[in-house]
Amino acid sequence: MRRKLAAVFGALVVAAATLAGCGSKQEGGQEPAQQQPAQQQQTGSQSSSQEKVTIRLTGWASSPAETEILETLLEGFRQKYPNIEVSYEPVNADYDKKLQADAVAGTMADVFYMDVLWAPDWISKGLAIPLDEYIQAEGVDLSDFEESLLRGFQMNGKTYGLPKGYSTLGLFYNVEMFEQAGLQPPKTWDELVEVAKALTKGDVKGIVISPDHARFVPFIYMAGGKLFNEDKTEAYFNSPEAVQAAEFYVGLVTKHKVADTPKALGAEWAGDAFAKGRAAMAIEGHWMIPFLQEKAPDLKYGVVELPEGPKGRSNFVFTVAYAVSKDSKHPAEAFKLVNYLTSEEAQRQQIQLGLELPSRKSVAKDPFFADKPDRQALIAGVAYAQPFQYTANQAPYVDEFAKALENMILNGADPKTELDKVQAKFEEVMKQR
Amino acid sequence: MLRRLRSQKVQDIVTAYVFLVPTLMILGIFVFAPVFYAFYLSFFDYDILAPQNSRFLGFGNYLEAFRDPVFKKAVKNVIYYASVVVPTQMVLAFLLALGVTSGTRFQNFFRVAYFIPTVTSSVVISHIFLYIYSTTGLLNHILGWFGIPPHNWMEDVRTALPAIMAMNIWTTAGQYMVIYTAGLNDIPEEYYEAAKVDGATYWQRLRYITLPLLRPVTLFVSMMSVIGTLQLFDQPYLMTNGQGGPVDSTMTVMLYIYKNAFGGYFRMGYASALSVLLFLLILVLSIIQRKWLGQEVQY
Repeated sequence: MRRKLAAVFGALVVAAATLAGCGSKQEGGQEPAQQQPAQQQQTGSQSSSQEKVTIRLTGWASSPAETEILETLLEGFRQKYPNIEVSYEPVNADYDKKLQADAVAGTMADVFYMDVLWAPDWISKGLAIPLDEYIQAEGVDLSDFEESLLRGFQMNGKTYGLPKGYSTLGLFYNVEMFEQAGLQPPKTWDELVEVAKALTKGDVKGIVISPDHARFVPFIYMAGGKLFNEDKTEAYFNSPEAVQAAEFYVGLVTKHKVADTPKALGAEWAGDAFAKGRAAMAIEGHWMIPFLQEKAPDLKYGVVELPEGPKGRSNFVFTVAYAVSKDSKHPAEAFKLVNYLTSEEAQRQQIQLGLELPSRKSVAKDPFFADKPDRQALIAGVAYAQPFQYTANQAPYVDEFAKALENMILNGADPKTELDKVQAKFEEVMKQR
Repeated sequence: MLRRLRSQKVQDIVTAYVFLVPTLMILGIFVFAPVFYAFYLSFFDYDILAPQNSRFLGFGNYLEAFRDPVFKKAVKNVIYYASVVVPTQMVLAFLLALGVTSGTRFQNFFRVAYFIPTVTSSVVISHIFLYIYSTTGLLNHILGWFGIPPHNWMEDVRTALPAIMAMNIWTTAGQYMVIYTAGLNDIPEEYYEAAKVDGATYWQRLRYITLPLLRPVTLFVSMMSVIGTLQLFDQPYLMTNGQGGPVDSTMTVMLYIYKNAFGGYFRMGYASALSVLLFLLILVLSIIQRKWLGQEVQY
């Protein structure tokens, strides 16, 4: 009997331990929220004038160099605002999934990276708060930011994020191959085809073409088309201009046979194919510059603006903003951090690293860029660029868009039929929501 | 006496449950509750980031699934995948098991060698095979010796899925080989001796002793293999940048569920409905296999 009791008691201890384990785990989850008031009290008693608050900053870390420069900037911020502590929490992979989980759990960091592609989703679902009152309070001059960047983070007349930097697309070309063939970089669509034809020899293709909407969409605008109406309630994926653009873009591979996909050229992505010398031209962005420095330091390349289409120029601009989250308990202090990180001073420090282009016009005039024609070509594109953005709930029809391009390029499918499918998917998604 | 016994029995039951509490709690919170909740969510249009906007749809999600071309394509893909991978894998695993139990030299070396792919992370294997299948990769290089021009395996809608099949057969055959090996070692030697005395040839022994006695093992292997192949996710996810491309040729049901739930579609309800449908598909196939292979064999 006594043994039995001991067994029951033992079991209870095990159960209690498990329960206790669960309990402490839950506390761990709420930690960030609880930490702040505790810290406030602690430091509040020490410095009588102002309470110290902690601001959490999260974003993806694309390279150790980027993390390092950010840490340097944060050090400057801490010195300027001694009563605001910043904890930087980089996410190495699947950033958007982590952010979703945090948003549902109510534990989002105060300041977070917001990619322009996801901005409509995250803003319309209330993950980011409007910053207008803080912009006014801090006296931020929005007109110094490139309009096409800022536009990506504005909705219904409110601003939800300040862009930290950007890149447009440019036409990267292999200088040696061009000199050997005695060619100049192309300025129009027709020239692009001619030049690519002349450069396609043996294993080398004139240009590497990604089956990727992020490279293709500017061609629709160059052909005189557009994706959406003003308030983005209607789309024109299958307009005659879009079909014309698709015929041109896809035709480089299927009709003229002067281009191929990165994978067909034995590369991971277009930049890789270009670095390996398997294509004389590639349509990529600023990220190519550090990539080529590392992977192909001896490759001589040049960058020019994307060739002009029948109805003018266009470009896509890829950008990321600092936004303040719905879960922030100290939005005013969080915005101070956003403002500091996007300030002229901080951006001048960042450009030296050469990871992205500055979002402020004043910084783009920095002497750093004077002797860098490759970066200037990319900066020139921002004036007439579209933000790399669709609408909220874009993923289903943008996936359809990606598939359509694959089907056209890899299987030679008819552009009109394929783009009709994208348009149908867009209408279906809009009806559901 | 009877009362005492009964009270002891009650006590035993109580003790058992007290011991079970931690396990039941963990299973309940992390397995049973989510399963039932997913079933519940499958009747709603549910966006995890905006739960306040959720709407009751009844069987709307299920009806949509039957019209959804991507889902249909995904089901077709996994069934095609399973119908090639499961039989090939089982035959191969069985032959390998026969090989490593036949008492040849270096038997343990071969056991380990065949088993290594199974314990290697699928991420590593996927990346190695991406290189092998690349246009300038190993496979095309070898084919080049025979004058066959290079092929872009992972970007061709006809070869992308078969490429993943070949990889997966190679990876998991070792795992089922181990199970078959255990099954083969379980068959008493006396049966073979008796058969030999009766003059049975090797093939007759294989046909009338080994295969029938391995039936429970075969059932287990085929069920696990079917379940595993229908839930195919990581290899296509890793090898196609999470897209199931080109043009949905490697789209699987799990990958599509993932996209709907977490991949930016914000459709947790629809994803739950698809999960329920996948569950039903696996359930039906498992029942059929039990009926077909499930009878016990006794000698």
